[in-house]
Amino acid sequence: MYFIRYFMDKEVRDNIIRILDEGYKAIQDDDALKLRMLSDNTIHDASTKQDNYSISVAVIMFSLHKLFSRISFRTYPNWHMFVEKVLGLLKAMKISLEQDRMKSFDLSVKEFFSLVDRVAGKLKFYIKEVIDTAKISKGSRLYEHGVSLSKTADLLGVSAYELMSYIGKTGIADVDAPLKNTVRKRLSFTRGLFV
Amino acid sequence: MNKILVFDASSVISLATNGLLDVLRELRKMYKGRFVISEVIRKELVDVPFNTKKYKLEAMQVSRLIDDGVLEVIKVNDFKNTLDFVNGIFSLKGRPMQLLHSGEIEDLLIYQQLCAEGFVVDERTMRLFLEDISEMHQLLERKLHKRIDFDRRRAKEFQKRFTGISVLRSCELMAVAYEKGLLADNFSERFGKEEQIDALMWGLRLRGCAVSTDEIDMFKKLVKKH
Repeated sequence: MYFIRYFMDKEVRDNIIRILDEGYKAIQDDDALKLRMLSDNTIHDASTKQDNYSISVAVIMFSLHKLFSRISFRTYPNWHMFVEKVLGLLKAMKISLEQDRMKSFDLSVKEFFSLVDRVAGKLKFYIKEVIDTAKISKGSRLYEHGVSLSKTADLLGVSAYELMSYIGKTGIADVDAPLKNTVRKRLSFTRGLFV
Repeated sequence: MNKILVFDASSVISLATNGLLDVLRELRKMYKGRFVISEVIRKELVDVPFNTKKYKLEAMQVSRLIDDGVLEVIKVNDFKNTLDFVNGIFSLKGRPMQLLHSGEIEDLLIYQQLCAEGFVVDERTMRLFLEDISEMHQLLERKLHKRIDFDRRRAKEFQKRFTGISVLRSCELMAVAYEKGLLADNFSERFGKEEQIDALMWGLRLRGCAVSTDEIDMFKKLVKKH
């Protein structure tokens, strides 16, 4: 999902810096709802520009929203260490962007996603699950915004199978405009193929 | 026009996750033609999920269909120009929106090169590009709340180039399979036709096929009992 490109649109960069800054404060204020709002905000940019950095940051914010929403996680012995590490990484990402050090930003993003490997016990399992779910959830938003299924799966580094299963359970098929071609016409065409 | 159906990844996934690949195998015999996918789509269907535990079984089953020649893999060269061309139809602030993937473009080129007679696609974006590109434009503006530039000259050329592509979904394929009696073993006789079609269509819908509730109701009326 995160890959080295070392170039970022100025508008995207300014937005990500703001998101990281507000995300940092939201964690300090224990504001899980704000983290979700920041994620939604970023996915909008990701849809219009298919920008991998925005996609990564949207997934990070959504994962953090999910993690900070579960009060029970705080009882795990490694939780505080995990939070400190996350705050450090968000700060590092922001500083890297401000100083235009894209390689360093990219490394911090990678480090976030590999953070799970360094967490011990049950928390490791939960964090992994949350990050995987965040990728699929954000993917469904990209698809809803008009990016094709395969392109979305590719951008997020998830399998199209997982994405389809998630999309199927949303109301996207009902909400969006019906196609001109009616069922009657399509069915009649398909019958014609098998005579 | 040749007796060939081109499949997108989405349609094969809907069938695989519903345990309907054997029905596809039977449909292929009945069709007396070729079912083809592109190399990029094969990777998406087999290689990517093979590395995960969750969909490894489905990947294995699709791989078997390929081994048995039910799904034929075709390689395409030079899809890059077409990909850039198509992804240049919509742009935001002068920046092209990369909406389609190389696999989908490869499928389009295969359809054209082999003079296929149908393109099986369950996902919405590719279908909108082919059937109603103006609606695609409206959808983007509606969803993103931004003015999206629409290169009409490019869109016209795209339509001219890929005109007459007949699109169908896994749900139409399975509706015909039902009418042909290929799904008879899957359903209990205790339930009537409408319940059986409802179960079939919702199964496909809940695993990603873009079919609306209204369309499912239409299927219940239109599909004939085998």
